[in-house]
Amino acid sequence: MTQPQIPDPDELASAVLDGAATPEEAALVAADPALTARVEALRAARDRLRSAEAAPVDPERREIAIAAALAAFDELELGDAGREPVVAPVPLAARRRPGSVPRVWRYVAIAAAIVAGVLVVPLIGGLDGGDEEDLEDFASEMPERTTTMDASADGSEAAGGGDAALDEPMVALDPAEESAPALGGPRLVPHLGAFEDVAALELAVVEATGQPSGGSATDDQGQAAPACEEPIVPVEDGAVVLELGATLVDAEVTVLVLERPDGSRTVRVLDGACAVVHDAPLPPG
Amino acid sequence: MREVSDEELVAAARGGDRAALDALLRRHHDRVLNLCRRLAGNEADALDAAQEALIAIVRGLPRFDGRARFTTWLHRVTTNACLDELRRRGRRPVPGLPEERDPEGASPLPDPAGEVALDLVGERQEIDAALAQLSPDLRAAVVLRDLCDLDYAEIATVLDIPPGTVRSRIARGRGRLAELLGGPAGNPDGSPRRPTTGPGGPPPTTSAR
Repeated sequence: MTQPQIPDPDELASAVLDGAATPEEAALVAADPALTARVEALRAARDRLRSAEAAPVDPERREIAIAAALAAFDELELGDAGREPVVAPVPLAARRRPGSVPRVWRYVAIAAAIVAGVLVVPLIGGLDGGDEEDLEDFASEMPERTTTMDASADGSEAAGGGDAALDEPMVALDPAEESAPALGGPRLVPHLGAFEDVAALELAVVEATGQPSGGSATDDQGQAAPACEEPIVPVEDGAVVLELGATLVDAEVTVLVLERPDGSRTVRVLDGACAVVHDAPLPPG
Repeated sequence: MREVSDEELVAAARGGDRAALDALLRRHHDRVLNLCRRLAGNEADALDAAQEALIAIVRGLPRFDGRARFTTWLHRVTTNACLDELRRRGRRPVPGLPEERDPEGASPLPDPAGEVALDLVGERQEIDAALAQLSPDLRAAVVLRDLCDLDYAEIATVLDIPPGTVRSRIARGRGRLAELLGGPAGNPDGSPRRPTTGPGGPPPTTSAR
């Protein structure tokens, strides 16, 4: 004779709590004081769980998350342009945001920034603490280059998702701040450019880390941007091998490339409050 | 004025209407983030996971066939994104410190209202700490049932498991939470004594909806 299977007491109590018990199960629980008490214990835990108020949502972070998702939407449309569209095409004029720059120009901007960085390294190296004039000259040229890039971009929309950002004011390199500790205190880091989405930013980071110079934080880019004040990186996440600034969906972010002991790299994006808004393995170069 | 339904917004977004998608994302962002907060246990991971979830929702919209409710599908995508994020980081949720939750947490508490706020944060942390003790499977089932208010069938769809397993996971998760949160327990080991067969013969082993 087989022994009848007795259900787990918590499962019975939980099912009664949810109104998901069969009449037989409900009767079984009702007839057993221990089970009835257990229903009340589970109810108390559930009510406590429900009563804990959710923390308020930071509106800025909400905007960043939504903008990133909308950028993915734009990419989805553009990426599938050659295939059967999964969503109907949207006129570029409607999709493109005011002041946006097509993707191709973004990459041109990145390349220009890298070239400018290569040019400025010897310049910075040649400064012996007293040649700020040369540096200021270089910095004063930068807005002109940006203006040219923006002008070139106008009317040359090809297939880009667009982004808003090469018109961000640039910050002059300050030798004193350049020599500040990598993690801490107000300081500037090289600016990678402006990106509509994380994927494009990652691509630029891959390019930056793949430079023959080894991709240090100071020799790839010619622009500079304020970094988040104190990015705290847990030891287990690896060492920071590259720190950059960037504009992501109109928000200034700090980009860290972390290297773990096993050699794997991740790219971490922090917002102005040093909160992580993106963290993913660095795509292969 | 009648509010546009999720399904209408989804249909418009699938048709390429960016504004409709924007409205849909705004409507559900906080829900997504709060689910991620409970599943991830700390704000930084939750923010990452929520962003990944929103992107996954956008990318998955073309494949959303409308057989399930949009919110059920949204919970599924979000839960998967959060659990993937935790798996990828190779860790269980670690409840955040108050400083992580509130960048200005160092400010003094000026009045009793501040103390109440601190109590609320403390309560939230205690609950997050208890949730973090659960395995991801149990945590997801409990959170979807008790915080997102999904029924067993919806949770089964979200987690892609049989309804009977849903019932069992919710029960185990709740039982563990009751112990961790200090509720009364039946036996010294935290579980009530197993019942004998009751009236009407042996109870059925499954009754999931």
